Amino acid sequence: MTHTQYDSFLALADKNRREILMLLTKEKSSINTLADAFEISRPAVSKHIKVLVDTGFINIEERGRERLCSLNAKGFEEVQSWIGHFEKYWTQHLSSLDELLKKGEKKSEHGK
Amino acid sequence: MKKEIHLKWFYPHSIDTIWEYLTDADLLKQWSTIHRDEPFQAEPGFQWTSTQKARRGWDGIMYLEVLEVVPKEKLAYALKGGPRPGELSLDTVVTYKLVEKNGGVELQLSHTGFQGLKGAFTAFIMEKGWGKFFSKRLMKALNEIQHDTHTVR
Repeated sequence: MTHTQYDSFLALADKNRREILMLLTKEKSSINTLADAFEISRPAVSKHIKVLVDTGFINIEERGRERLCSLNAKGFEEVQSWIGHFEKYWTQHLSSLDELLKKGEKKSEHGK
Repeated sequence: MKKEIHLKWFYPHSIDTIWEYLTDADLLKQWSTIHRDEPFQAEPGFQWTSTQKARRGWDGIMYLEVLEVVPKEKLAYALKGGPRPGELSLDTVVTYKLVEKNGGVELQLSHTGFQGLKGAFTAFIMEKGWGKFFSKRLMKALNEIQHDTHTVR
């Protein structure tokens, strides 16, 4: 597992990066093609692509002299795992309240 | 694919009791890890933090702020977090709703607003080309979006 400065939420929080992902839902594109679609500088686009690669949203394959980007499901799974983490957390949370209320019932009547 | 969390839990207790357990600082400390560190005040604008186990992309600090308090009906707070202080990539809302039912209370907890998801995910889900690039497993997960309300009990 690589540790990067960006997490999947931060990766998706940027409009340009979301747009790159949107372009890639249509077709695989080379880094040059992607860069041409944006007004921001080529190095800036490259940096966004790097973030998306690091967070598992994009795959890069070497195709001759070109570097071809395609979507990678891993990034989305990471987001899912985050939500799954919270879901477990909240379920436990609600369960703790249940347990405490049950304990209270045994000792005395609470709620007055 | 899930974008939000919706949970329900039934407590065979009066709505007064449940509301008290949700808002009283001393009671909260006994069951809620979010309120372990600082005494809670059920007033809009009240801010507190809670430190949880760190996770990849998250330093474990929850930044919380009460958004809405409707006695015995609703309690909502903002939950933010990120990889390090000052960088809050997670910007979400947690809402409790209390509904009287069958001589008790159904507590509905939702956790919504996962930042980045709103735009990106909706767009992806709407996008027809999605299936071409993703595995069947993910497609299956996508279909589950209609069933992402869980009844825990």
